Amino acid sequence: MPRNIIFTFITLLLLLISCSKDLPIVENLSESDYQLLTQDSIIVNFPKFAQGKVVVMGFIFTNCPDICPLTTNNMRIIQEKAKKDGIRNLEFIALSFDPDTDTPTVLTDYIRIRNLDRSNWTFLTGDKNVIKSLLKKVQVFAMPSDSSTTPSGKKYYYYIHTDRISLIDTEGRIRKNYSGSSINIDEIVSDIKLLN
Amino acid sequence: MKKLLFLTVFLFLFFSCRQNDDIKTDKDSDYEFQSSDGTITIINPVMRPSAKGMNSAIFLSIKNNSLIADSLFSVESDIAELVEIHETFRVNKDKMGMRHVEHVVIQPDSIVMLEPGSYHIMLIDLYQDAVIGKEVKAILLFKHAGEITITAQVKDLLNISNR
Repeated sequence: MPRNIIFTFITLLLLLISCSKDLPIVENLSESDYQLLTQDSIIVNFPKFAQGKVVVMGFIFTNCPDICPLTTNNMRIIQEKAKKDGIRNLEFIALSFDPDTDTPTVLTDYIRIRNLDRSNWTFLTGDKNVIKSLLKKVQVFAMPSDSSTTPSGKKYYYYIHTDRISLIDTEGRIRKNYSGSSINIDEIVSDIKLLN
Repeated sequence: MKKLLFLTVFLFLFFSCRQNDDIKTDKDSDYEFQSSDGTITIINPVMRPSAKGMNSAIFLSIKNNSLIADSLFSVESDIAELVEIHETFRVNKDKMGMRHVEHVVIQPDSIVMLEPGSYHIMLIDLYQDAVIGKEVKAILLFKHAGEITITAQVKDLLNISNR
């Protein structure tokens, strides 16, 4: 076989592989059902309520002053870039792993102070055991560790937690996980386009 | 000849742009506060936006201009019920945590960055909303340099350090 034909064949094969839509399934949540509460105190069933949309999901707790605000900021940048690129059918979800603290009122304050665009972004909290079960399924670790006590006696726990943003396809399957605080924005936007 | 002219124009534009970057950096670092003895300089203090009753953090750089080590051991502010020095740490590849530290040492003639993903001044239980654009006062206490009063600007911080 002539050399140039082999070269052309290999090039085409590499192009085909690099353009492949096949992001592997990391975890299938499509058969799961978690009843959670939005920032507006509306009960939703996750992941069903977002099915049919590609979902960018972050894991946070609002007492965190460093890593979680970075994750939130990154989600906002992804949201803005997706909007600019004309990507539709996209939902953003931020799940709190500290439901004792993060009531719907606290989540509403967290959104308000950052002036976040709620048009396709839902913050979720809920029953502690339901959240624990969901975190186990998606392999996100969150455990209270150090704490601070204010002079008035309020105790604030700080979590050791997985630094995570997940990308979920239209059928409720996690297709890729990223570092929430230091995610490559272009990479996830490109992956969203593959799934959309 | 044309190629030489093109190369000259390109190099001129390239170095002009670099010069502008330098000017911007210098301007940014003008936001400074100094101890009365001049041994410690605080550079660009910024605070994350947060709501009343929640937590936030102040990030800044500390420059030790002296020939002896100094340490930041306490911070006071009227913005929050409790103010502590904290450190974000990595547990393994993808897990993060945060803990209180007693002090931060600044070696002679060096700079320590209190930055996202590392040390920060932790503001616990804010008395009022800290919205973007607001300015917040704090007093930093050093072992040798004494007190330095700073004003931190409330800003969105988008980047994590690579340390």
